[in-house]
Amino acid sequence: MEFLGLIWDQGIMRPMINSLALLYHYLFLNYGLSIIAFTVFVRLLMIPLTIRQTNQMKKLQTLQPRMKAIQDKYRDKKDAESRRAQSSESMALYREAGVNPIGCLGPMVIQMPIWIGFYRAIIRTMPTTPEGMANLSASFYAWNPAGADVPFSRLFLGIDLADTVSQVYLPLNFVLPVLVGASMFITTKMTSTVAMDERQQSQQRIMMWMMPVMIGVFTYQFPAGLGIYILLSNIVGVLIQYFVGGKQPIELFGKLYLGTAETRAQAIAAKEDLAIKQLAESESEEEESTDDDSTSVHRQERTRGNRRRARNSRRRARRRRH
Amino acid sequence: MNPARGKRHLRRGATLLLLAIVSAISLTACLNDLTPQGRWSSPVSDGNYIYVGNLDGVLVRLDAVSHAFDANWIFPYELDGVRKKPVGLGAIYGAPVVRDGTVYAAGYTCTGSNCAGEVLAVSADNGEIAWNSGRATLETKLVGQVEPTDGGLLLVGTGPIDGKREPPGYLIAYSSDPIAGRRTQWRVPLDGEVWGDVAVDEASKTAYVGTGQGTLYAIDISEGDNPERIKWQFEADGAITGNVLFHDGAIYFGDLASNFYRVNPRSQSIDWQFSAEAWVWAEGVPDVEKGTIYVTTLGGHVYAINISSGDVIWSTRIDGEIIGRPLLFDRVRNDFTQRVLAVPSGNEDVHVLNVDDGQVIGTFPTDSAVKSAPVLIDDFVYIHTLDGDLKWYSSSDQVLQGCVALKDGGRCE
Repeated sequence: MEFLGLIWDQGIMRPMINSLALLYHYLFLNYGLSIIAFTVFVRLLMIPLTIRQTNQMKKLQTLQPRMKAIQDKYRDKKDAESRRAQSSESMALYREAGVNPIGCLGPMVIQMPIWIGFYRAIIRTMPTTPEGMANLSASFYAWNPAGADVPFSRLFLGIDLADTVSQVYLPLNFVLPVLVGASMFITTKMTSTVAMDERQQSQQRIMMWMMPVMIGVFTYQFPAGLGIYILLSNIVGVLIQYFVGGKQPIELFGKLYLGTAETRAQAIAAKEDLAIKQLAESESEEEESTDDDSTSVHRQERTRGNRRRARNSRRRARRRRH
Repeated sequence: MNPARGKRHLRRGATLLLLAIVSAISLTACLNDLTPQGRWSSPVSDGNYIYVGNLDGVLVRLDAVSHAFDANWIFPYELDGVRKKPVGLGAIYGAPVVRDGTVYAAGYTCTGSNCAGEVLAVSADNGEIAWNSGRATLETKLVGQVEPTDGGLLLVGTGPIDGKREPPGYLIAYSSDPIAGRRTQWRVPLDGEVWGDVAVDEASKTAYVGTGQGTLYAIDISEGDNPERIKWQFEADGAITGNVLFHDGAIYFGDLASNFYRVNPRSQSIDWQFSAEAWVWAEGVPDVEKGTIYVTTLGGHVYAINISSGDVIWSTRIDGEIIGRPLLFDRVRNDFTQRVLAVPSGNEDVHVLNVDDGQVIGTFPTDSAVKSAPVLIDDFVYIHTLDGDLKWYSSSDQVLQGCVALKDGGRCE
């Protein structure tokens, strides 16, 4: 545990504190600019990971029909052996395609310690208590000239960056969490794959809403500096993802935004394909259900839902083409 | 319930629980960083009792001879039947000051940027508020100790007041008179927060105070209405967070740009400036006999500096940051008297240094970090440790003689 603490302190906290302080020293003794520069720097540093994530996502997307086939094959087999067989077949498929099923989580996993570290770094570099100030001394590298600039000026655009967002002036105290939540939603939307079945779709929908809402609510109690970091990080992340991902359009509330004519057409076609597949699937399920009296009401409802969604999607696609 | 759905719910629940735990840990760590902890208060004695601010920001006392904790003398408190139940201020950093039967101290706490502080004036006799006019509360940070003057003032440095950002600090003068007390006599706006003690030169009726913006102010504390109390000011290279010392006609203080200064108040300029290897927080300790001043840093450095020239005589280093003012005393052992410097370490222990060469020649084992100043009272060295205990040791051989938990007077763990 002590070893982990040492790694956390020396490997993440100290470099972060010193980078922020150094940027403050060279960026006109302005902590807001230092946060902005740091955010852009971290995001640029993570571009290789973003590219990797995007590639993995694309590969996962192409594997979806084959994954679905495996799932269908084992749908009614609940014994341990069938589950093992399903799992090994899925893994073989991933291996064959050179995909790590949790590989696309990489940037997220790497981002989490950066977020937490940044959160702590902001609080530690703008101490409001005597012990906080005294502790900061041990965090500076001896060569860092910014040590003599302490205490750092905390004002940026009239905001005290060490204050919680709730203490920032109206209406920014409400606008900032909303912007953070919205930008997080767009980021999640851009980095999620299209799920083939109903269950995955519903899980995805929950995650897509839950995370941004949660982060937005938390932001209200975060230091304003961290709120600005998350917002900026999301915006830069969206831009990078947009260009790295080949200018894919972003679908928000049924409408497509940005993207090139080509990528928009591809997105519409993909959506149509999916809708057709879902319709075919639901029809075949319906046929099965007439043969099998034991089919549950739950499945019928799901089938009806799939058909309705598929019809709606086809209608929307047709309208867009016209 | 469908077993698959049950499992799904379980997984979802586990994910949410994990997120909640991570958030709680982050929030707790954050609150620890934003809430003042205190525990830097040094003990002080009036001959009969030893007074100190405890870890909850409550002023408590012990009998100076028996070391019995006086549960009937605590402040602030509320009555729980006939029993006094402590209601702490949050954090007390400065040492209490006893003057004319009254114990003065200051403490505060903050929630976010909303701070609530209070200047305490408590009767040593009965443990009740000494001011007829009630308690002196202020919406600000009160870190340094309250400094009484011969002219009947109580001086205290503050942060910004009443939730406003400007001015970022004040020097406030209260009356120490029990009847007129609590009423602000005057207050001088400053350019930064004041965290250190105020130094007073009674001869010239001047108070010296340093701010977080690195300004040393010389402020007129003479009686009467004086709209312009700032006599002069001096700009240091870094923030002044520690105490300012007035000694033998000169002003001594350190800053967060790792400098230690001797400033001449007559010429209002530097006599000498010493560049240390880390931030200087603790007050310098002058040694008149040797013509030396001992300067310490948050990096654990200890320097013996020629008080006239500013030249380094020796330097050494201990483990941990040095925040509390070291104690200079004569250690008597087998009829042999040796002048030593007891230096509190932010890691643990108080190290005893030979003042001739800086060699560590002993240790007061504390088993906890020490950020308060050790104090010598009747051949015992008293140390308020960061875990909230008051320990006392034989000054001659550094053997622990006793310990009391200042929270409630209970036994030390």
